[in-house]
Amino acid sequence: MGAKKGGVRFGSYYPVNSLIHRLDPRAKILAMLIFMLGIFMVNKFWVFGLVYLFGFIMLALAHIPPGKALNSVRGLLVLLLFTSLINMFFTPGEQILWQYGPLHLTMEGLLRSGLMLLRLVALIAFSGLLTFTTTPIELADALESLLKPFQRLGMPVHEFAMMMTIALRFIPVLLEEADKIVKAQRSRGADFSSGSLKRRLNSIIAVIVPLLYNALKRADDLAIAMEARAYIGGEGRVSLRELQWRLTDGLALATVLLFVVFLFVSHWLKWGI
Amino acid sequence: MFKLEDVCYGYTDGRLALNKVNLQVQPGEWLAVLGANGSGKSTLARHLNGLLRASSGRVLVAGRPVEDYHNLQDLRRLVGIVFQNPDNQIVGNSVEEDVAFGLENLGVPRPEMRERIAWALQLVGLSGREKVDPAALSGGQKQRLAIAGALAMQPKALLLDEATSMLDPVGVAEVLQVLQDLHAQGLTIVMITHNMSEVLYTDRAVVMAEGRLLLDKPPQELFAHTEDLAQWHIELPGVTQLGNLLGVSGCLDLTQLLDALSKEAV
Repeated sequence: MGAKKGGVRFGSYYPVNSLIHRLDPRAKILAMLIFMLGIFMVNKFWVFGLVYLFGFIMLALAHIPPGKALNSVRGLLVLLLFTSLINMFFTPGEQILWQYGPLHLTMEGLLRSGLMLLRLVALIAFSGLLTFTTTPIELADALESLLKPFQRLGMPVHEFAMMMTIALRFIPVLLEEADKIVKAQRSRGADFSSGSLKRRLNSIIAVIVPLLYNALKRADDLAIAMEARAYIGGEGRVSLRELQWRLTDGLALATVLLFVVFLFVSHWLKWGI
Repeated sequence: MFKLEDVCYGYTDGRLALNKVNLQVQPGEWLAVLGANGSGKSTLARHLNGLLRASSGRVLVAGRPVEDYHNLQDLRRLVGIVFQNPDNQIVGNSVEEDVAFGLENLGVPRPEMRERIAWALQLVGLSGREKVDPAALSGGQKQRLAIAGALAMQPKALLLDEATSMLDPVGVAEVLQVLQDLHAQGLTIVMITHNMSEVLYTDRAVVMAEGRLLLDKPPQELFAHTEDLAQWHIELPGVTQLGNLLGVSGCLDLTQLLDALSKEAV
């Protein structure tokens, strides 16, 4: 979480003005869902080459340095390596290259592990395209708009979006509060970095309990303040932020859709590895 | 603007937070409500915009009993309220989003919403800060933002429930300046406060203790009740206390104290 007090960059939003940043967040969410689905269908190395080319073009259009997208992969490196190794040494196959006890390295295992690694890296690196280019508030608005049809089925769509907005608003407030409590407890002798596990857990509980108490008190105060400002839920509400679907949004979504159709078709192609 | 007739409000354990309160506030008046913690001040304020309902007695807002406001949004539109802790009442993730919150709830059309946001932010001196994250504002600015949020709904009255108690002196001065401007424009203000120096700005002050209204006077007259105020744990402003020590009572500010002292010297 990259939350900071005062300027606030939650998650990984990268504040530049680019074509992708300007797209309607609903188009970005839909495009990302379709693109992720397409990546799951890829089963050939050469198609992955095209997926990466497409992804890096998107990153370039969003003015996001490729290193920033790949940074998110670094955090999951251990998990990625573990998955690859499992696939590499436990996939059965006819062409055995090396064997030691239950471990065997087969050509099929190597190929499958390579494809798995490429798929996971692509999923992690390019999913950032959505969060790098869309603020959390835009995401909440877009989700509310996209989920609106489910409101008829009784789904509390507005309430869900409002909860997201309020949660985002209170992250810096609660971080600041946690910081104050930690300092207060330290000044009274609490030690968070040394001592036995039990002692450290006790120190952490001494932070969590007042933090939780204050958070509940804040929630109560906020509910009264919202009621005082005529909040009665989503009915009859007009949002200040207006989502506008433009031609470029349709074109962007169509481009991704076409590419994903190609990924689906490539799944059944007989040639190439 | 407000009329309370024999208003009582009881807790479930039988204690009375308000005990037969009778009060009238005229349109355009600035009233201070004083009292120690637990005296019933906040409970009183919450009756004025329908957040709480009286156990007995009547509360009238703009001539209509609160019960007659079947759509509570009409009442909330009429009476804005600003609470003690600005952090616990700001909803939006930017200054303009927060001011818009009440307007969004009232279903105000977007173009009008933008006009009202600009107007309210100008009134509280926060123009140009529309896109700023509220977390980046000072305490005084946050409270001014909360006032802007209430004002954007164009209320006839503004309630302030200890709205300056968590602010530093600069923040208090900022908020009081805004209130003075609003009062000059004819807004009714009911200000709940612990701070006697803030009472100097008001037209009238009432003192509460144990859910009852005990005194109802203009500030100058109120300050003469030194012993009563001390008994109700209400502290006089520093200047008044100093004047009392020097043998000149009822001084509301430094100029009055100096005038009184120079007259004594002559």
